Amino acid sequence: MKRQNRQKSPRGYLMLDMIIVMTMTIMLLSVASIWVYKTLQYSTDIKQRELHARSISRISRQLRTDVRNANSMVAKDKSLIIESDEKQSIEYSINANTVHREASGAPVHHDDFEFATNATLTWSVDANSGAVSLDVGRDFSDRSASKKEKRKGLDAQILLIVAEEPQ
Amino acid sequence: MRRTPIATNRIRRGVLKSEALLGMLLLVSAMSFASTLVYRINHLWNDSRSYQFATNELANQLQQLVQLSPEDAAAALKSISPGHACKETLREPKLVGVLAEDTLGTRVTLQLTWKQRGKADPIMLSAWLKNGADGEESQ
Repeated sequence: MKRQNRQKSPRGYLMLDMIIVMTMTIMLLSVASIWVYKTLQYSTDIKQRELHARSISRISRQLRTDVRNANSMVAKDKSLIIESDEKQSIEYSINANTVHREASGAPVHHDDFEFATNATLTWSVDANSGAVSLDVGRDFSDRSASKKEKRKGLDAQILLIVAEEPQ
Repeated sequence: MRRTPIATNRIRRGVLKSEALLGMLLLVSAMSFASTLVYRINHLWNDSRSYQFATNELANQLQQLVQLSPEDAAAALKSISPGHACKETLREPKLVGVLAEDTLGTRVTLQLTWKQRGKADPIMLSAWLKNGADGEESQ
């Protein structure tokens, strides 16, 4: 009786079955691995974008407030110095992807605006009007051509003009 | 009661084809759903970036306009156009502005539109001229 049962049930799989199952498993695992990797990469990118956008909002508000009370402004290489009537000097300095704000006088204040790791930060001076602008962008030179095309242009341009008669 | 041999033979050493197929189907569905979500979030981020750039552009333009007298501001509004960086960043941007008198003085309102996916409202920003209609600072 026992011998008969053994003969009826198959004792293994066909080679073709094994090949099909293994191919499908490998394909599924590869797709899942790529998908997990891309999702993690995207998650990092989202965090960078969020940090970048938040810093743009913050620095835009802070710069415009400082310049509204200023009577002179000088942009030199990586730094911008804003002088106001209240004997206060504010210096913004660019260091890689961070802008550091230091207000001397009373009260002394330090603040950092951190942008995305591939951020490009530059002070541009308009020779005619004397206006200074902070140009914020991101460097995608290491990315594919389609990505570069999608992300062309700046992320923000913050124009700063010192009024002739400060308020 | 004695255990039948059938009961002991029910211990399974694998999965049915239908179970495997169902599992695969669920995995593929979840992955395609997540991918669509990622794609849509990416669009949302790009729109958010454009919006942030547009508000900064309007603030930049207003900063220059509020310094002018009402007559000069009116003349400047006739020839107003988006900045160079704005033209590079936003698709086909159009900038228009109007002057209006109110209780606070002369108000200048700028409106920026650009080519976006789907229907979108234009962005508007207002400020008051420093030298209002009566020649006094009104901001």
